[in-house]
Amino acid sequence: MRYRIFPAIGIARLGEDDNFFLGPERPGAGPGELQPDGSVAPVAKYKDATCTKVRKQGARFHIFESSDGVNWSLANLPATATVTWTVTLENKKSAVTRPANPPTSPTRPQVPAGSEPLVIKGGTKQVSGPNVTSSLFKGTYATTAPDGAPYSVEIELGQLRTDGQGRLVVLGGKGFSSAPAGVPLGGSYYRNPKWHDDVADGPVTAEIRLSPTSVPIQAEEGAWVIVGPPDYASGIDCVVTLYDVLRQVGIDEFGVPAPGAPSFDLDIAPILTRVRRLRWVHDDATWSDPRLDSPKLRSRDAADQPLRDGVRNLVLQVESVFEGHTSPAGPPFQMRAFQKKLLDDWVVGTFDDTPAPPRVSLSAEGLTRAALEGAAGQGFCPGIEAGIIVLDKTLYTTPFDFRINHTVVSAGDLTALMAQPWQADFLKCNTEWWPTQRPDLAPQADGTFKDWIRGAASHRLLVERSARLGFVVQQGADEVFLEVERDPAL
Amino acid sequence: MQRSPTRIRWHQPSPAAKEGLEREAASGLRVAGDRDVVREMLLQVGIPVVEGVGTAREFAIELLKLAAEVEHALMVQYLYAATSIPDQPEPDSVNYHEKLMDVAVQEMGHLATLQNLLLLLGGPKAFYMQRDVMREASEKNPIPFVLEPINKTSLAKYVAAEKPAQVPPELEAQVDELVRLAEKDAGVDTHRVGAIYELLRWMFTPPEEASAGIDFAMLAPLPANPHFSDADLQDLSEITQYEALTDEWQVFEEDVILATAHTAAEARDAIDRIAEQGEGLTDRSRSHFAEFMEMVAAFEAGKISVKPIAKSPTLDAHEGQGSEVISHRYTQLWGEVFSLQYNLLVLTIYHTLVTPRPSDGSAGLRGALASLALRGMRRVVGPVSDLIASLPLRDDGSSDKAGPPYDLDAAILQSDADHDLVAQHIRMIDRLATVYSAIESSPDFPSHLNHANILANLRNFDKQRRDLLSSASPIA
Repeated sequence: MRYRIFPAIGIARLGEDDNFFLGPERPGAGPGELQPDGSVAPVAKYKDATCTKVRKQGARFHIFESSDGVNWSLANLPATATVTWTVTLENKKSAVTRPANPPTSPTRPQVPAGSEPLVIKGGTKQVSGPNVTSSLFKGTYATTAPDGAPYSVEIELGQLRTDGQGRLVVLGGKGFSSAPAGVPLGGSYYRNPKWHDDVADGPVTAEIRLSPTSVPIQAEEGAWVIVGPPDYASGIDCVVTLYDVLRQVGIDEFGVPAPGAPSFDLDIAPILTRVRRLRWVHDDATWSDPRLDSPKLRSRDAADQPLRDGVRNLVLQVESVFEGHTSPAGPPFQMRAFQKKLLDDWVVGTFDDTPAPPRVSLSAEGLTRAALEGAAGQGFCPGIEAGIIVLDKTLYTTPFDFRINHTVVSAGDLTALMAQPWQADFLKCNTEWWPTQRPDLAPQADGTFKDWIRGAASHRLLVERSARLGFVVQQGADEVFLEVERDPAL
Repeated sequence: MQRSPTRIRWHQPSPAAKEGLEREAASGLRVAGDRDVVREMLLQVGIPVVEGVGTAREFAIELLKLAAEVEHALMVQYLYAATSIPDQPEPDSVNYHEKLMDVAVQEMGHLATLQNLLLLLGGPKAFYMQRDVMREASEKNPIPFVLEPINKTSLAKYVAAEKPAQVPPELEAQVDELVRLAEKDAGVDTHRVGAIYELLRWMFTPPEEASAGIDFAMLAPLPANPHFSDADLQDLSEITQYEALTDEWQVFEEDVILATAHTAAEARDAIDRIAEQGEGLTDRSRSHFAEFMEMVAAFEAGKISVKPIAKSPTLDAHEGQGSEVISHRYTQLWGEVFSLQYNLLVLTIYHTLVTPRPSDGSAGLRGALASLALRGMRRVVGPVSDLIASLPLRDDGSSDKAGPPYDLDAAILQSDADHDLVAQHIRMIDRLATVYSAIESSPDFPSHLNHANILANLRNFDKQRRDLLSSASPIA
């Protein structure tokens, strides 16, 4: 029997409140509230009762087993089995050689000699068994103030937990960014020397012992965790997600078959939903076009082809509205080729309109897809959770299953060239970048919209107040989203 | 305040002065370098002399205004050219649309830097956002204002406008051919803006340093006391209230120059940086000259796809050569929308500049106006440009496409009084509302399914403007 960890890449998010919820585990299901039996329920609150602290999003990892290496199912381990999880977290942002603008092609981060004190090494932690909590990942960030005075601060990068079934949950840091007094912030959305934040990334491994005396078995190739900034509109995904980007890498570089004729429910509806939901966080009239709400979109009738064609053009408007990179050498905002092919097939009626059953159980593929569909795959300038480095095919193990190769990627590499600090990018990159993670607009109960960032519209203020901003959250089963949990005092 | 036009004349140094320059070069007493480049440039193009002013301050302000008009005109021409190139990587993986947009954005930075230099010398009254006024009144514009899709000739004109005085030897023959092509098409000599910047730089140089270089006062009739010291400049407290800042204008890239200047030395530095990037005296990599030479090579190799949009499309005749009047009725309506939105953009930038920033560090009206201008650049100009470029130019059934008419009404910038500026905003958005309704009533409208969304976006944008001005000014 073979064992692997899924998701291959998990996404955790910063937050000061340790009362965490879990990141998405089923495509389209959104984040989940962990129940005592290990199941999840919809998240009701993203912040604490005071609305001043954001709850952490934990990334949960599962052990899957397979006898053929092709079909993976949740591991049915004997009662005598133990799983020992090991995670390393680092933040290299301040230490790496950083260009003035985000790289326009995949770039491996380099820590020049002498910059090691700027690496925040959270270290390596292990947990095993149910309901266990590790010590904190803590590292030191050391630099100097403009007057030469030493500046050293201890940074928490996260913690490990296990649930009642012994599955790993990786938690991230508090969302703390700082710099020595007198160090400016705001000259750049990307490079603010001597500033740190507390995002992180690193390897996840699992050692399985089927019994106390059995030979330990390593879960093949391990997994990876990325700790990113909060997602302030987690029910609204990017039209191009990190999953879509990596999937295209798999198709282009590793021979992963491109999808065949699409299923409306599984392939087309999610794209249309993402576009439609943009209306809650971005003010382009395209997203409110009534054609996006037509019940005829799943019709294969040839008479409805003009409607499907028109809606496809609405979807493709994202390529005009949103930016890919500020440099002409950088990748423009484009939907992935496989996404466009799915849409083309749908337009001409070559698709399966059979209603797909809801995904109620966890699957290997579904875990990775759900995790990465919650992350941004567009606008790698530099991006939100991970940047253009993900286009580097040498990052991945083979055969491709979205898995990072631990022998060629080190802890901290995937987040090293993201914005320094992340709040600088969140402030400046409004309107044409990632309204799905960083809303432009905040829908109000009275039907109006307000600026989401109101009250924190400067770099310093955003560093201080990012936890007090509201979350744009779906209300009930209807496609209505409202800003909630904003600190009333902001 | 946008004053009546002043005339710029290009003065040829007297034979005696020329002889002095050449004798100095031949003496071998100096090490050859940039000064020889300046000498060569001056002998070719002459010295820009402002007529009708009395003081050195007025002289320099008028030169800065001419430079601002040139930067504005170049920027618009580059934006138009970018409209003619699809926004996607070509087979060689280069996105030439973005390349041109980058150059246009850099020109915006130059224009903003020139505003800061105008502020330094003349205070907020000196801000200047006109594009055609001084150029039309003066001889020998650095480049006539022609909106055209990318072609060998247009690229030749951009090379001619941006080329350094000292062209790398390996490019000389090619550049000479391009300049000949440009001058033949333009019908006039193409001049380099570098000459204007070099004189301005000299004026911001202390006399004792300036005497080590070329003495412009010997070459052309300049006002008395032509060198500025820090004592001649505006008060710092006023400058910091009005200067354009990178944060305010969301200048993200380090290759976009938006320089502030509080001293004569900083003014010189700002001029050097602008000149080096664009119209400088010697070539540096990634200068506009280098970018356009690269585009010439790509165009000649067939690597750039070009949309066949019109040449100098206009709703009315304007200064541009060979202008084509948009006669298709539906396109005319959208053309008017574009021109009004462009005029509003220019007005908003000007309104921002002349509005002081609050002393408490908040964004205030100035910050809100800057945000409005940025939104207009990103969310209005581009989409409407592309829309018009897809519409027919004429009503004769031909397939020729139109293009965005960058008609600028000089009258909108005649007053810097807040109530006048607000009135201009309101007048134009009131007119836009009428045009939007006419578009919706047009028999062509239903066949363009996405035009309704674009109108919705425009109405939303106009409402934001109206709401902002209403909260800032009771008359809006």
